[in-house]
Amino acid sequence: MKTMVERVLKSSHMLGLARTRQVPIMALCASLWTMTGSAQDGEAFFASDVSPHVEPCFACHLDGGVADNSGARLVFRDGADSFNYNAMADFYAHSDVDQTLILAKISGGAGHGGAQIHASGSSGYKAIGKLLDIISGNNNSGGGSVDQDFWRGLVLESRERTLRRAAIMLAGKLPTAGQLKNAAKSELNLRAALLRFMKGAQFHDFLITGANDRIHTDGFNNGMSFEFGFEGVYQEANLARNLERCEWGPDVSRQRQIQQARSLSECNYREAVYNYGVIREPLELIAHVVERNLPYKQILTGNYTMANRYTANIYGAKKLFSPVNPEEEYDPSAAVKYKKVRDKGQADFSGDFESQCDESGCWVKKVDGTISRPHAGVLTTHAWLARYPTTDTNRNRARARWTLYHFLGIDIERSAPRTQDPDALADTNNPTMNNAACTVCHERMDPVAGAYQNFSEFGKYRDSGSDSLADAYKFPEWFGGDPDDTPYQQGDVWYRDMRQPGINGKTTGKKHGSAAWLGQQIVNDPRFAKATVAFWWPAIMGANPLTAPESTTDVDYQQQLNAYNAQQELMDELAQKFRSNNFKAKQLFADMIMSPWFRAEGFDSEDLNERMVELASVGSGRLLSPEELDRKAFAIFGTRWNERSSQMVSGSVSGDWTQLRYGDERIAYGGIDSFGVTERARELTALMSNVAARQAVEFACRVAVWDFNRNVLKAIRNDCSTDDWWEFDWNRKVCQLQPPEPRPALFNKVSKTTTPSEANRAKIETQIVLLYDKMLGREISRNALEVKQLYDLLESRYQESKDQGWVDNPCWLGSEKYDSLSWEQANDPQGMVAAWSGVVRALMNHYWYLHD
Amino acid sequence: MYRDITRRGLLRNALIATSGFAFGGVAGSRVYAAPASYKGKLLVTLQLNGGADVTCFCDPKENTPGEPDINHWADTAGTMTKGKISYAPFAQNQKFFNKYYKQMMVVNGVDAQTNSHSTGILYNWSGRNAVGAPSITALHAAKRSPQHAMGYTTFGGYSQTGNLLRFTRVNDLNAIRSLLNPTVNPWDGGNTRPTNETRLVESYVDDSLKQLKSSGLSPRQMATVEAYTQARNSRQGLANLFDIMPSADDMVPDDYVATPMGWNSDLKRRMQGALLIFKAGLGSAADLELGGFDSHDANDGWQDPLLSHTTEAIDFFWSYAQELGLANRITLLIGSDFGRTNFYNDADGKDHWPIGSYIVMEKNPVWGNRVVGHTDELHNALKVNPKTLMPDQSKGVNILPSHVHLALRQYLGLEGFANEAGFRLDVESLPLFDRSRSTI
Repeated sequence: MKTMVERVLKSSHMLGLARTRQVPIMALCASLWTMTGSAQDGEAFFASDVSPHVEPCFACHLDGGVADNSGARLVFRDGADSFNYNAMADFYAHSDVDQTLILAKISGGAGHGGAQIHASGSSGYKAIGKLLDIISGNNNSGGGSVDQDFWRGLVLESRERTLRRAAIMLAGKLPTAGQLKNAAKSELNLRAALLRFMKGAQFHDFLITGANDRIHTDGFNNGMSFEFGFEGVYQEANLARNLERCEWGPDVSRQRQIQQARSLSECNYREAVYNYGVIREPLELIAHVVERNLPYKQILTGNYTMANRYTANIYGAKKLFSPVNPEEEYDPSAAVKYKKVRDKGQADFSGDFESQCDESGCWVKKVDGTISRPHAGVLTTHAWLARYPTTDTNRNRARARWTLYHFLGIDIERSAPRTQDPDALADTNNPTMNNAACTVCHERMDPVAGAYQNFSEFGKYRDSGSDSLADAYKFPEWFGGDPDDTPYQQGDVWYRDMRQPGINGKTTGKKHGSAAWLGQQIVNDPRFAKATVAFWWPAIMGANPLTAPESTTDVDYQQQLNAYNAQQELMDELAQKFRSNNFKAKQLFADMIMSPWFRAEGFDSEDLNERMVELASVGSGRLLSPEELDRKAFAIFGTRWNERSSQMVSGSVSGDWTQLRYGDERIAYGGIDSFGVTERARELTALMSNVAARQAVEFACRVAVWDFNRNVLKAIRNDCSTDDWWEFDWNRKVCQLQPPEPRPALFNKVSKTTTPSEANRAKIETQIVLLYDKMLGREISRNALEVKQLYDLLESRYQESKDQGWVDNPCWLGSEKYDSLSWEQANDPQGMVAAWSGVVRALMNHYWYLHD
Repeated sequence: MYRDITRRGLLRNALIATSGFAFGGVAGSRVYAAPASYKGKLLVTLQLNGGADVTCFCDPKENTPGEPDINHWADTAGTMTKGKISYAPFAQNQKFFNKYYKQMMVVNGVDAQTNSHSTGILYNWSGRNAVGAPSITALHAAKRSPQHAMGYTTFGGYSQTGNLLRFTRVNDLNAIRSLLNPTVNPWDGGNTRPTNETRLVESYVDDSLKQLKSSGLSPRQMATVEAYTQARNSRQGLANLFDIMPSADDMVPDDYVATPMGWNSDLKRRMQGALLIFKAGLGSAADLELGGFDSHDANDGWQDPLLSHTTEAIDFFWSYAQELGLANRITLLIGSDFGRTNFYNDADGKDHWPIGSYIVMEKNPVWGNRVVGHTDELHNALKVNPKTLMPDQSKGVNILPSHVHLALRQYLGLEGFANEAGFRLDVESLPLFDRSRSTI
């Protein structure tokens, strides 16, 4: 039996369709299994096929359980098949209960307090669906598959268009004509082409951005309080910032003084770089695993982390990088070049050590030895641990909650029962261990929290020397309590009044390596693969994974459920392929892009008006995020809006600065700062449309000026410095804006002197068609209405310039905006650069420039 | 070619067509025009995220002999009262309640029925503990200002819209000054590009959107085309905001909040931004948020500075609203995820507790100076009679966030609109805004 993706795609291309075609999906979605008839003995079927699948329900749906106490009408008995069959039949007999409701609840919908038990299409879902068919005497469960007509009327986009969209998204590149032609030949060719675009700096950026969209560790780069306190734990961190080395003194050379004057200060610079390195560790680790095509499991099992030059020093691996040349001290790349490293730098506080404290904190002066930090990929990185810090009473539960969410797809908060008895919360007899209202979540969450036992509030390893337990737990007498009022015993590393470290009912006796054990358990869990699909879903599909609708009274409930079920089935299939491909993330990305969810271009469906909600996040038409819009600009123009190199992008860390990335426009355009704003806007608002308009106003002219002066750009790039003041050099030309990287010319059919006339009309119209295709990814003919409109715009602007006799300042933005070009080079004798910049501006405001 | 849509679908489409979230098939024939400046009722939420300790605020609790201490302040002081409103002698409460007691109704003993932050937030700001429902502010904006440039603005907090409209996210209004009028230099007011070019570009983009709408789009494309169209049509109003914006120096500076991890709060500047948006006639609803109330450690060390900052900011809010001539039009709803336990934990903090409070404020409302709902000495919610609001343990009901939201919907004239949109609240109606009814 073919998977849904195969059914859809095979049908689309088996006839050799090269461009957009309608695909008759209905015929391909044949019933997955056939009813065996209502004569089958319900009880026997329950015992043989259903019983194991209702066992997860026992967590709540037993007599006296959370569901029972909350008023649920379905109550089972553990191990009593006959009773349980009748319980199900009785439940079904209620007038307001039907198969749809029950199947919705077990798949996490209809307000099911226990969230999803069985995904749509899973064996458990099918078995219960079949049982309900037997009970009802109907055949309504649809074989447990998703709405069989979900993909009816699907129109897939062409392979060329898929390749273009993906190449921009993944690599900030436009495919060449040859690549498009080759990809158009077959699905296999397309897939291979997709994989070839998964490399380079822009792909790295795609990975960093996509991963951060989920784990939000970049919040520390955007104002979130940075509380690592490395100097108090890593001697090298203290040495790196050693104030004595940064202070002025008679022995400091003149050259050194100049160097110091040019930077904020050496110590602050180093601190900024190693802080940045620490913040980016988990993201760089994920990117490293994907880019090297390593099994994705390593993001949680890798016995290493990633370090830049300064974090490598701190972690005791300074030999990884070449010695620092004073001239390279402020090399911007120091912050963003990472290598694989093991952290062996933390002071061993169980031995002798010397530290010093003042009002600003403590720092390590001298240690007898260091320890080797146990690694478990992302899980043990400082930034991950600090982003979800523990407290004396939280005890790693936030870490557990997000670990389960991101890596196993379990949303503990949503799986909590909707209503709680206040008495349970007033229970002071260790309710998380003993009270059913609490244990429903804590049974799953607390062992995972325990696996993080070695890591203190902001991620230090055993910060007391022997453990990271709260002092209030170990020494209640320090807080006015009774010294005997604690179960703590010397040598413990975890709380005795909590569940033991573990997961899924398994416990681990490992102390030093419990996090690594946890990582291994997670990646071996069948849910890890699907959680990975969900993790990368927003980056590729431009929308968050759907959640199961919870209220059957919602107007769009059925549509939401249809979409959710279809998405779950697709995710299951993608997860299965991911496993088959030995957890290679690039293969997963390719499969996701090849899926109809990414490639749907339209639906030829008579009832489309009734399907708006269920298809609302399917296919093309996503609003590009600030980062994606930057990547698109880079692909087309070789530069981005107000791009500057070597600018402060975090503390005193330098990098490529762009308006959409680091300006106020990022949030205004729906982006995130991973701190105060963690959800992206997915549709344009009035303010956002003004950001797009502002970008077009400023950026279009620059693009046009530069493109018409391509012959001098190369020389400019070689002769161009930045405006960072420590880089200032009178002997070099200062470029406030970074000239674009070489790209095929935008204006290759016209020159600055090709003015509108009947003689030049064909040439200009052809240029408009080419520009339209390049910027919007859409082909139009020369006689299309839009070509005429753009021609008229061009002609009007030309005429205006001619009438005013005012043509030598095409951008009206002040000379500093294009001062990398000389005044003569930027000259616009016929006003045509200004006229074409108007056309580019119009296209930058076009729906298909801002969406994809 | 389209099949007849169901009555429910028809209702939905009609609703979304008037609220700015219509799709191509429905919206194709619509003619957009920039909406007039909004002059009607305004709704603002102030969401105290993390779980504010209302026993240190508007539902004061003294310690009970034989029980663990519920509040340290009760070791040395007793509950205070102004008008009919009791409050804790804590933080800057006295100053706040003395000044505003006539402008508020306190709803105590609201049972969020959860100790999950996400469910508590969901329930307290949408009135429903299942996902998918709009916030009360979204409902208000969807009815009152769906086509306006910033019909619904969120400065943080729960702001789900139930697909009724889109919200605009703003952090710092000052930072987006140059975006309010993208073709004008903010430094000299001059045009960045020739006006003729701007006119031609605008005309071209409008035409291209019309052409797109008639070109057989997918639902996703229809939705985003529609969003873009509406955004473009409503953005003219942003220039009004540009015109009334104070200089950068006159925007409110940050306040340092001395919690154990002190930080600079820009809550007042966000309030200023929301009020300026209202003043410009760009919208009818805004959400404000202040986080940090999740005081598992050092409860009083967190709650004291945060509540002080909260009341000081609310004071600023009403003063500035008065200055802008908006105070008579505003309803301010203050609440949190839930409350905090009726005892301190080992870290002198308090954990999650499902019982919380709301405060509803207006300028001189007829229903002011009242408390409805109540709790016992250990902050357990007690039932009230659904008709009289008097304590009634036998026939009464526990007040839930859904009760409060239903009362608000009725008071603000949103109930029918919400029901038609499919977001009915199936709870009994409580006469919270009836000035003749009180619990205490």
